Amino acid sequence: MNKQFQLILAVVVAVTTLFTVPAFASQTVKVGMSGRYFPFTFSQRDVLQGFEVDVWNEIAERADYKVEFVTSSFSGLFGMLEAGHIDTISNQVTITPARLEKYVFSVPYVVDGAQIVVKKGRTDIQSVDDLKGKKVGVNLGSNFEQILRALDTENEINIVTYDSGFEQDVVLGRTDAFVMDRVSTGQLIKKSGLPLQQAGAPFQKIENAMPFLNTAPQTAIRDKVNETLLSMRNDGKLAEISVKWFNTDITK
Amino acid sequence: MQISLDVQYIAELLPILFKYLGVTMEMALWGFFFALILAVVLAVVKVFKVPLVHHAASLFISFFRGTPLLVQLFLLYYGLPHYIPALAGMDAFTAAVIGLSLHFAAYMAESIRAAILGIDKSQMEACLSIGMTRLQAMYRIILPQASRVATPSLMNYFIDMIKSTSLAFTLGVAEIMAKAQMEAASSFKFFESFLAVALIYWAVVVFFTRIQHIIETRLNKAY
Amino acid sequence: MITVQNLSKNFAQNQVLKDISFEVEVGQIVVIIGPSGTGKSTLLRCLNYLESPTSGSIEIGTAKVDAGTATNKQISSLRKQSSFVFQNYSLFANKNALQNVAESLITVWKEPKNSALAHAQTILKQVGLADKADQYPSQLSGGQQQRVGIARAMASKGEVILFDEPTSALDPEWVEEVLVVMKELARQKQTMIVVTHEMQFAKEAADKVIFMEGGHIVEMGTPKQIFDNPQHHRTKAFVARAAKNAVTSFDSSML
Repeated sequence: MNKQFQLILAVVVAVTTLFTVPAFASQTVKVGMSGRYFPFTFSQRDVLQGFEVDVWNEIAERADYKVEFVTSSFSGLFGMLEAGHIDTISNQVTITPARLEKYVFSVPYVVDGAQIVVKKGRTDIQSVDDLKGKKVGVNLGSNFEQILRALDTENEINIVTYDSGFEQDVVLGRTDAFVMDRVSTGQLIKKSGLPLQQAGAPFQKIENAMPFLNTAPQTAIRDKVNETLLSMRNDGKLAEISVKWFNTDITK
Repeated sequence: MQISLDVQYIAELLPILFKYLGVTMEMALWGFFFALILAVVLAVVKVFKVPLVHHAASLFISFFRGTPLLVQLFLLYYGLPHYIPALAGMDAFTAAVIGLSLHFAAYMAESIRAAILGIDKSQMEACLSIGMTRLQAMYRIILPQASRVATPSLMNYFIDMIKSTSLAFTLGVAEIMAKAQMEAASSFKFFESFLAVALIYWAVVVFFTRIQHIIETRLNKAY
Repeated sequence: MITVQNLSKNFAQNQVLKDISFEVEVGQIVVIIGPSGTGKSTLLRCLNYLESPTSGSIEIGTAKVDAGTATNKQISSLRKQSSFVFQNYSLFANKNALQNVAESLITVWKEPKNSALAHAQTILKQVGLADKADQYPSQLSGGQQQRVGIARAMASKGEVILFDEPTSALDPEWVEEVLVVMKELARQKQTMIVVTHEMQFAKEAADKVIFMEGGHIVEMGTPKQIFDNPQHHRTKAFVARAAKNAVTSFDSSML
């Protein structure tokens, strides 16, 4: 081959590569999560990890997506979803009627209940009824606020919203109790070593899933995610990830 | 309740947070760069009372001084993309830099304007008398003198901006404040984590305050 | 070369210049005298359009401006025909002596920087300050600053240099060195309009003396006519008073 021909060939190869590679490249899905919700999504020694991260790495693997995790405080995630900065939120988002009006959800991948947590040794709070007249912390933007308000028809519970750190306030006695999902309360108490305990039984079944905007391209991703989640459920992978983080299957 | 401070944890966390100081400083430097350019333009427009434009400049300054930076960041990142879909592609870092630039430009414009007005008006007359245009006079004579007057307050704004970058965590920028929060959420060592991030901000601000003093001493020596 | 016609200037309700008309030929030295606050400086500033006249017209060289219809372009070309020496020098504080002189050459006349600086250096030499080129205004005495101010005006290539009480802000010891420079310019037939209280300079250097009072020209003529044979009684009174002051200061300096 003469030099000129080699050069032309090189250019042709380069150009074709340039144009064809993007066509074969996997679609990137941007997944929003707080990175502050142990053990679902958290950062330790600067490594983002947790149940949500494992679930999404598996989804990406099976559906040939490239997954990009975007961390932001939980209250900011819905804003990012609406503004189109992310494709979905993987942060134990509970399906609620209000959210169903705005978003389309994947199939539920975690089934859970709402749990009251108090300072260790405290016995006066055992149920939602006992919360009347008490100061109760919930995560800002989470659905526990709505759940509590729905049960608190007389408006007697003093609900305080937190961006982070309500467990500290309960320990310090600034807040009487906090409410979050049962699974993570168990983890939180164990991991933090803080003097906290679960109070009473979980009081509301909740189903958590991933919300998407109701537009054609987003619904397409949702459908693909559903298909993948179901296959993960059927072959036991989803349960396996759950057991890894929780020692139990929280996915059904 | 037992009060203890996990010094070991702070020592381990500091190098992790340090890796993200670059993001913080990049935001502050880009933010300051664009804010400075915009502030000079706004100040000159206001000093020259450019028809119509100077009303727009006043409105801009009033709005960005009159509303909290956090609100501006939210409007920019969460609000505007609803109306301008092209902005949805803007990443959080860019949004934070734009927000910081606009916000601080409004403040800096006022201090640059005050510095310009503080320059004796005979300097402008001298420029005009030898045939320079007002814009040439501004660029060659007035702004160089005003910059000397304005530098200390502009440096203060820069230091303020470094600290304000911490609000970018609300947009999901992975800077030191966001990292400290995330580490705190998994370790439950809130006090230690936020103390670590406070120490880093403090060290950076002390460093730049030093530089500010050196620059001011230099400026006082020149002409 | 310079024609001023029916020039008037109002500040709010106050008319400070009333119907001023005069002419200046190329190479003439015109000195404007009169009591303080009679509009002499305002007139000079109008010629450079540092103040906008209310009515009338100004023509310098090829530039002509009518107060009513002045455009930015006309004003700009008028300014290029003249340059100004300020009472308080008004040197560019952020530039050294050489840069002050070179500024108009670089910015207005677009001379390459090196040749502009060389050119400025020769002008500084003419005012006797070649060795002060790298000094900033704050490092110069009042007399030196005003000589740089004159050099800056000389460099800006105007047809005429306007002097607004160039020695009034100076300590007495610096006055002479500035007057020497001005007399040298007069000898070289540089067209000048000078507002001053230095009667001796007016007598020695002027081709034409204008006596102003109350915002209008009372009388004008050669120094001989104005100082030795004034016609108007206001001129007579002013000249007599000025002569008396000059003698007093002469006496005191002899003591």
